[in-house]
Amino acid sequence: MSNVFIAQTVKEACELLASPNRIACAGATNLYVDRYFGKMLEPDLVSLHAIDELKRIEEYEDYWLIGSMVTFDQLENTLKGSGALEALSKAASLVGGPQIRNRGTIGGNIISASPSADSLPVLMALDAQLLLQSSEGSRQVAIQDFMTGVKRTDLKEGELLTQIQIPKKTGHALFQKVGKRNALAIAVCNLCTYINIEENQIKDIAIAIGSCAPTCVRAKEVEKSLLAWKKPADDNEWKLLKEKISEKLPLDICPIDDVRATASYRKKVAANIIFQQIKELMEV
Amino acid sequence: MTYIGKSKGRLEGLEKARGRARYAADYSAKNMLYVKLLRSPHAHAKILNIDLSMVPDDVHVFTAKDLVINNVQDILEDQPLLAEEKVRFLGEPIAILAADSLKKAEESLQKIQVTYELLPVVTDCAMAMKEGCVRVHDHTINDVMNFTHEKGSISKGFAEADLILSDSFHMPIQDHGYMEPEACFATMDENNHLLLYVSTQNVFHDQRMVCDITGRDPSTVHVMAATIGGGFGGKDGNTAQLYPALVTHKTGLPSKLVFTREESLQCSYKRHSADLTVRMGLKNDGTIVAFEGIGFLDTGAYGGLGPAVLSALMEHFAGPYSIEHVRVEGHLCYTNKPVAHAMRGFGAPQACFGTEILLSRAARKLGMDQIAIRKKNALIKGLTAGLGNEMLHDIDYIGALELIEESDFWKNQKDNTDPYIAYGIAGGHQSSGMGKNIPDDAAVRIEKRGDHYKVYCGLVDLGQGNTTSLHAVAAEALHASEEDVELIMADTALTLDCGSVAGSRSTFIAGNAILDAVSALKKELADPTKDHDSITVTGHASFPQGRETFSIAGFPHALFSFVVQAVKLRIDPLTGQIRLLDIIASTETGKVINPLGMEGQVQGGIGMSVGYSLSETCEFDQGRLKNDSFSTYLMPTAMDVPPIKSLYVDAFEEVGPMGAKGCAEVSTVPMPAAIASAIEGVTGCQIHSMPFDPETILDQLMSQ
Amino acid sequence: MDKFLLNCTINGQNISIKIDPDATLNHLLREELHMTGTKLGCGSGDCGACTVLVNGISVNSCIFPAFQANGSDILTIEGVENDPKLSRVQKAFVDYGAVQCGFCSPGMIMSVIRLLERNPNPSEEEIRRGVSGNLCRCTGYQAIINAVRSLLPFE
Repeated sequence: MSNVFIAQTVKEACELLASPNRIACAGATNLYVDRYFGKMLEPDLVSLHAIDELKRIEEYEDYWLIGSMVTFDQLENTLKGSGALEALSKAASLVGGPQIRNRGTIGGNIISASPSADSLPVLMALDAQLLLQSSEGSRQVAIQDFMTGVKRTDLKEGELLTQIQIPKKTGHALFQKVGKRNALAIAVCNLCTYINIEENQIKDIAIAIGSCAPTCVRAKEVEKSLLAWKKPADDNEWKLLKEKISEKLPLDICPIDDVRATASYRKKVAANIIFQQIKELMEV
Repeated sequence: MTYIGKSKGRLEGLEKARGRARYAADYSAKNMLYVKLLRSPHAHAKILNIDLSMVPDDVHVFTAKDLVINNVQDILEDQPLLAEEKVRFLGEPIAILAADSLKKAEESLQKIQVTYELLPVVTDCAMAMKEGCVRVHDHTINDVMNFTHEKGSISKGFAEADLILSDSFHMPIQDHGYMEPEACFATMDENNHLLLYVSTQNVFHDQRMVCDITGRDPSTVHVMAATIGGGFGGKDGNTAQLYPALVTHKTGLPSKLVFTREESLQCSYKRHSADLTVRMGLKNDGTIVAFEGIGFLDTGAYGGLGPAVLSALMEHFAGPYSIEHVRVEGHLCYTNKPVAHAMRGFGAPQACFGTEILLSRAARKLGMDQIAIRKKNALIKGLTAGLGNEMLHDIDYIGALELIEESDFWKNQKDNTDPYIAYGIAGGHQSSGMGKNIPDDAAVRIEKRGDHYKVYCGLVDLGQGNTTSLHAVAAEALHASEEDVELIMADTALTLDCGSVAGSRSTFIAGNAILDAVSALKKELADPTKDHDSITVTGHASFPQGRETFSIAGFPHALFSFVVQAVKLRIDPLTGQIRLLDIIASTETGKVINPLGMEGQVQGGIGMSVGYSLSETCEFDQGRLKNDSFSTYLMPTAMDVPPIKSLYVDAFEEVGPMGAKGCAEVSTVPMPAAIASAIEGVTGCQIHSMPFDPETILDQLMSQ
Repeated sequence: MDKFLLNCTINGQNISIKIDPDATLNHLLREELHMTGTKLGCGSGDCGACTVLVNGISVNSCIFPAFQANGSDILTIEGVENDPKLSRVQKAFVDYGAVQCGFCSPGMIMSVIRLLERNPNPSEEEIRRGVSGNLCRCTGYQAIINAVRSLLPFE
């Protein structure tokens, strides 16, 4: 059985985390499930629940700052009508059920590093940066570089994820989740597409896909092939765009068969949704 | 009628809504022992040795050697309570541990060393049926029970047919998914009698089983039903009650066992999976002239109530239709999986699925209306059903079909312009009662004290509301105010044996016993020499039986309820996922005693079958359940089940209490076929298995 | 391991109790305080039967670290019947057939209280979403929706 320490400030949390065999505890919606199944019983907990400075969403001229203890419920309700970041509100609204959204945090979602985490596709597509602090100092890292594998991140011993910085962008983003139920579902595939269109042409594009690889991934090959693509004028041109997605997507993702869905299903659904999202975003 | 036909919420509803009702897990006592079961990690293995020497001294441990009779009472009597020589499914109990903390009990599980010799795992019916397949039980082949019957001549029937359709279907293993995990609290009362509070469907059966394993006299075993958090068939047998019973019997200390959800999913009773081949021959006018149904039921490691589920599959296979030539064939197969047992519907949902899908396909091929083709073939009183068994009682399946036909729901179909939206419909029926040659009786005692009546009934209320219905029947028959009638249920010390709460029988059988007691009471009251202020009478009832007899007991049944259910759904063209938009149900179940209660049964049964159709399946890998938690065994949420409108036919069953028949199970029967039919309507694909796979649907859409 | 001293209020009552640091709120309520109105249906946050309100917010008590409730106001089903406004939900559940086996009811009612507190006039879709973290195996949810709708100002 382990001990608990309750931190009141980020500084205190970092100091507490400097000792070995300690992990941060946020909303515990993953941690206590692990513990129920007999895992993660050893480490002592440094609880972040009392640190108010981590529970804020702040808007600046060029970016948003989201504290790591911000809950899905907060994200859903605060980020409605926030441009491209509305996709994060949507993603948060589709997590679990109300009780999980009340407790689960964006920081926990990132650090747990499930391939199916619902916030990750949006954070990746919008190029979020993570602020990590420790008693030694702090560093900033791009979320793409931080996610290293199934339930693995680049979090160093003693480090605490404190804030997520998301640059403001001029384009629009969409998020979609495919689950086996309409609530309390873990994604079979979740996906965020960001596009900026200028002069009827794709000027900037970012696609991030969850549940289709060991981590949430950017669909780099699809992005590359669609950059500068002109808005299709007829069905035939739309068909070409769709074929391009289907051609390139297998280079970007490597889904597996599991208890929720087959790899082939995930591929087909991801391609369909990317196409649909691009279509919707181009027709705005 | 003062109470009958009037909607009423649960008598015990407020206690439950306030959190005051006590479920078995809510009981505890000083010095209580926490019970855990050592379960087999293998699906099929010989037990070579059980070494208990490392178990700490302050932990109690019991094995098969501590049982007077090591047997779970069931139809085939093939199951030990604790495995001794062989384990036949993963999770089968081998030893009982009891300690003064749950943690200590759990930790002590690791201290028992069992040596196994692994055997090949029989994974499904196809493997079980293969010649030379390893036997799950040494004394019998895995095809443990089979049945065939032919009415008329199907070769003649199919020769006369203008259209012949046939297909094969697979239906998965479903878990009951009651929200309350299995639980029992055991203690010694002041008379040194063993007292149990159980989450159960039959306290008298529990009492008999406890006497078997402990050797106690029934007069010293007192079983009471705690508040039950859902049963659906899954608590009709050996769940969690016998283990703490043994612990308390042996130690004299109170004890409690509550299954974890994972234990419940991996180890507890299940619905039988089914592999079906169905063939149907029709005339161009829609008349079904021939039907053949072949079914294999996977009963898991032990028979449980499997033989009766097999007979129900046989009896319901040809549907609520009058067909001249019918052949049915069924096999019950042992495999190395947890025991399949009773589950709401009891073989009837499996029977309905392929038959109704073929009938919907036939209507499309013949250009006939879906309701018209069902009306054309519908069973009515006096005709014979699939086994040649005569329908002796009132039937209004046609009335149920007409309620849907006349509904706005059904009529609005023609206005739909979305190509991904479709409607599907299916009908079905379900027997009530235990069936031919199985004891099916009840006895109810009424005590009159002044103007107050106590009604003692041995049945359990699993949550489906039979207490509330029986209370209405009693108050109505006694012409008493509701407050003056009190129901005492499911207590081996106070009530009489009424059999199990199963087979949609409880309101019918206990209702009739109450009516019989009331007429006995009236006789007493008519006798001026008797003391009218203090009267005790007992009423009896027996279930009506069918006329015919077959080689297996348990069918035919005499009484059936009938349903028609329709669904409107949309297929997502991007994902192949099915979104249910609206459901309507029409039910013929005799006179409805409590419309609110009945609606609850209809909507609840449909909700369960929505899960069966869309997401629920126990997936085993070599006997190990892969999805053994509620994050992987997916039951529908409020966002998955659509609005459900429930209609019922105004009917009256002569032999039923106040005209009623059983209604608790029939609601689960047709929805999977209705959904399948709608999917086939949108996509043109042919459904062969459940739960319906979005990938198959998507592939079909993308190939168009 | 040191015991953790937990101070909180439960249904308006001040509680001060030493707990195991890794105990869940559900364990505290059911096993330590013998408040068994709150149920345990799965233990892994997947069914909602254990729902309680912490500072007005609905949570699954089975995966809520008890120590995080320090300084909080906790409302469990036992605290609902004495509040005339909240107990309407219980009565509506009974009257509309939303209580069958009753095992999901305490948690479901806590979720409905939270829903109506936040959104006094939810649409049917919002009601379904509001109770989507609570599984019910008996009702098919229709009676629960009906019960909630009966409590809305314009129904």
